[in-house]
Amino acid sequence: MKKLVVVLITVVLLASFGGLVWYALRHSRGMPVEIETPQWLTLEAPFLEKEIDLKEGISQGLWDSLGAKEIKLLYQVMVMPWPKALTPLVKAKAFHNKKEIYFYLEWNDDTEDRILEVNKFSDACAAMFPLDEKTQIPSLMMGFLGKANIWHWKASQDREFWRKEERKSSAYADYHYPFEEQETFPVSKETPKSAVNDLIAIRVGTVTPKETQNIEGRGFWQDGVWRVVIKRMLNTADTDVDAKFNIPKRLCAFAVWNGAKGDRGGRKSISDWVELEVK
Amino acid sequence: MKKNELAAAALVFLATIGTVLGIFGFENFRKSRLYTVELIARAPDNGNWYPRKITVPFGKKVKILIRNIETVTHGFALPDFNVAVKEIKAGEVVVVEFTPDKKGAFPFMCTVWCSDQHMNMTGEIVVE
Amino acid sequence: MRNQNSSLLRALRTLTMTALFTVCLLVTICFAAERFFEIKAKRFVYTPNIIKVNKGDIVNIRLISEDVTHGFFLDGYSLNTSSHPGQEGSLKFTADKTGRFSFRCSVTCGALHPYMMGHLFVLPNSLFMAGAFTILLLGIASLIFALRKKQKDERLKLFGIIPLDLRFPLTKFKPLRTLLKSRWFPFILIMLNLFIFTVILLAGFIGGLSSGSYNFGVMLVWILWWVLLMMFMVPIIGRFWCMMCPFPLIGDWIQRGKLINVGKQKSWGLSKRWPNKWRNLWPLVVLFWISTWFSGFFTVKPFATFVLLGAIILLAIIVAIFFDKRTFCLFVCPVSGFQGLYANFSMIGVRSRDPETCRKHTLKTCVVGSEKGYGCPWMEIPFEMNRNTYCGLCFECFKTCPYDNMDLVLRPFGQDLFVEKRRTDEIYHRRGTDEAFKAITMVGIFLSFFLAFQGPYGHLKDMVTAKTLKGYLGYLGESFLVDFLLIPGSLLIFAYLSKKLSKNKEVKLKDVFVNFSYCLVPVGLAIWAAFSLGIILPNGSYLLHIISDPFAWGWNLFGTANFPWTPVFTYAMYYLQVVVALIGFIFALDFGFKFSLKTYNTIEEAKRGWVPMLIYLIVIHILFLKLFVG
Repeated sequence: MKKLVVVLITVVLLASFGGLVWYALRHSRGMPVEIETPQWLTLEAPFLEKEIDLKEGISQGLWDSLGAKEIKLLYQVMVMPWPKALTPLVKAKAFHNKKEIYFYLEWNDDTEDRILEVNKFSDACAAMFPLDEKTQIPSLMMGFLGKANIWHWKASQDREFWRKEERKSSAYADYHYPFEEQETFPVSKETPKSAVNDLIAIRVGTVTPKETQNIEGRGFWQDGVWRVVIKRMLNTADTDVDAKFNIPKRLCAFAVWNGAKGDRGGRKSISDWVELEVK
Repeated sequence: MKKNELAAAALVFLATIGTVLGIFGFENFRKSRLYTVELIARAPDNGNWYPRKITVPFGKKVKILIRNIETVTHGFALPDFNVAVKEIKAGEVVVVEFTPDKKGAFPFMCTVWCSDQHMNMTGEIVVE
Repeated sequence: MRNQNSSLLRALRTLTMTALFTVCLLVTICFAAERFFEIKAKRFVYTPNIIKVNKGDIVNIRLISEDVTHGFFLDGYSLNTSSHPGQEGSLKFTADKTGRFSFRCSVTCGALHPYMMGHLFVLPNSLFMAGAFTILLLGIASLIFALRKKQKDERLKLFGIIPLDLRFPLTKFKPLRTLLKSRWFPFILIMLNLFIFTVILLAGFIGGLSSGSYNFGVMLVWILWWVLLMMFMVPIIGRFWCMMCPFPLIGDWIQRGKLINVGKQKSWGLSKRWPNKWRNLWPLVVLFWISTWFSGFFTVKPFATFVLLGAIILLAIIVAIFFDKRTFCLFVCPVSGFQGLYANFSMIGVRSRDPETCRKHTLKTCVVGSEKGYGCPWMEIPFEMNRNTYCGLCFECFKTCPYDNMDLVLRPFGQDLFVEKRRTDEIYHRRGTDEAFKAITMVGIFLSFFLAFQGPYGHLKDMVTAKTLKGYLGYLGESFLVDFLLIPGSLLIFAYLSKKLSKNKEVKLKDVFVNFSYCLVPVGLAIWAAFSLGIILPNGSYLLHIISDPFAWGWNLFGTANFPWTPVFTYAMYYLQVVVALIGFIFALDFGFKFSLKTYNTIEEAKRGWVPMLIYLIVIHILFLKLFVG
């Protein structure tokens, strides 16, 4: 009889402790919730036997035939200063013709900002391609830990390059946040070689123009929408500093600047990693 | 002698059950009086912010108690109301205050690289 | 002529020395280099984890975090920086202090954050050299003392000064005796502890997998309690913790039917007797060793601490309803083993005062109990108890003795290590292999823990936390090899050498082995105390936070919730560790020769037999020195 009671007590104790442990485990990270494991978006770049000469335009018709990937953008908040407004979405499309690779970016912007003056900034967009095969995830922050090749299209530079117009103002500002030096100095030294800057970075604050500028680009604004096309040779000689596309799947990321809201430098809207599939 | 036993038993219950009840009672009282909402910071791998959507009334001061229950550093940014905590270290508890002066849905996110899915660590504050 | 020559020689010698010294000085000054180090931090290791510079060098450190935010705090120099991924931290300083300094992570980065560290060597490492020199010097001094001995002492004296059998009865003071005889003592202390443990368990339950550093449960158990136990309670006041431990409370209540008054003498429940062949420290040697398999998981996660403590409490209750009296405390509680063994070194004990009184007392109420108290729940025999191993300081014998013949005595360190066999030859009353292995395994466990948790080796930390199954099995294998083969094996070899050198053929090798392994009692205490210094000095400041905010809920009970992590005395820490290890060494030297005298018949045999053991002690202490500062 006593044995029964003893065994019963033991069982009850073990069961209650087990229950407590199970409950604590379930709540070991606060309120238990469903953990979503979102996959990165995949942007496909199919093979098309077409070519775009940016002197003629950006071939909107060709792009309309391709499906777009909607990439969510977030405020860049990891480094001060922050942007004041968010461009929530950018639509991306891509294709290649075995010789060149083309990217198309479309996003909403109320105003077309192509002039650089005191306190007036240019709209812009960029695509970032990490150079390290084994990309480490934190290198979303400007190529941290493994370099990144950044293709930075600026509306003001696009204007200069394609219209070769004179500068409207010769004033400059010398107060700026770090990383923004190149943004606020409107007096440029020479006419740009392209509308898109071919840059390399290894972490925040180290954006450097490359010796050879390989990228071409052009953008048009109409009725509150920017449409920008960027193109480059599919494979380049210098794979140390140029993004490679001979890997079937590789990572890339995008950013958008809204000049009217004061976006420049780190004040931008950025995307998470996107997988680029070159077919 | 019986009194001794009762006193001893009372002490045992006070020390155990009394403590537990007292602690939970105090915390519930404190939370309900002092804060509009308690926000737990977790990396997306572990469940993301909780709650991910916070609804607050327009025009009334909001006090959010943010608790980092993880072992990595997070941060908090609500750019639309210029609210920021640059970093919330593991185990830290911070309070942010603001008065919503516009209606709508506004994103908040983490400001310190905390995990592979850091960019996904976002939530929403809805002002009605 | 001769005088002139010698003075000329002397002048020449002085000139050469001065010239050499100046050159050395100039070399040090001119070649003080500027060094640059890029240190990558990734959970939970730095790369590079060991860096060496020379005194006077200007050191530049760039900290790069590869996965999450990490910090960098340099012991001794008290410099700090941190970096989020995507940014970097930097430090620049002149290495003007020599020695080995740990740099540790200063921003919680994950489970093993408190153990993430690397080593900076500023050469020459004078502390290590001075320590090694002191060890050799002390060893030689011990040898000289031993060799000069003419005859065996009538009375053993600690360091030749304090008689080891000295006993001062603290209970001479009436208030103390009244306290110990009250049924409310130690109950009231147990109540206090019950409250604290309720908070600890609650904190562990709520804390889940959050940061251990900000959790009341984790901090109190693994920082406060463990350090107090190893540095203060066990070496000085023996099994003091057992006196106020709340774990057996429920079991006692069920067995006795009463909480504070005197109820059943025989335990309710199945009241089985723990089998005789296990009535020694062997179960605890094995149990404690097994519990160290999980050390990588316990000490940093609140949930794990909750499970561990909860399981022990559960076990205490279950053992109490299956077996009689304090079987759990004696043979199952993981903490019991080393407390019992090391309590033999401590300064207090419970002893009967006048053997004649006990001989005349036929009822022996200290064993069978009376209406005033219970018969010894630890199943000891209070009237002839001569060692602390199995006495839990519950003071029932004070309550039951009608002649107030029990005393709480103050005595010199190590008294119980030298008691001889008793008439009954009960295992309680003599040195044995079980206790020898407890002393041995405690040293082995210290080695594993120190290397894994207070060392810079990332792969060891991975092994201990079972990052891969292969690594984890490797850790278990290594732990077994060191604790049960390497240390006892090497000790056996030196014991054999000792016997051989003594030229005594009759003495049993086992006796030589067992007796000398008791040298590891003061050694074990000292190295664990030094280990505890390495825990409390860097991390003690967390305690200020958790008393104000025990559950990381945002409380601020005492205003110290925002107290930042502040390592203290990190320069002196290394010196303290060396001093503590040396104190253990000195005790081991003193006790060791006494054991030699007890083992061998003649004094000449003892002198010869002592030499190998002396060498063994010197070698292991230089090894410990290397661990702490080399």
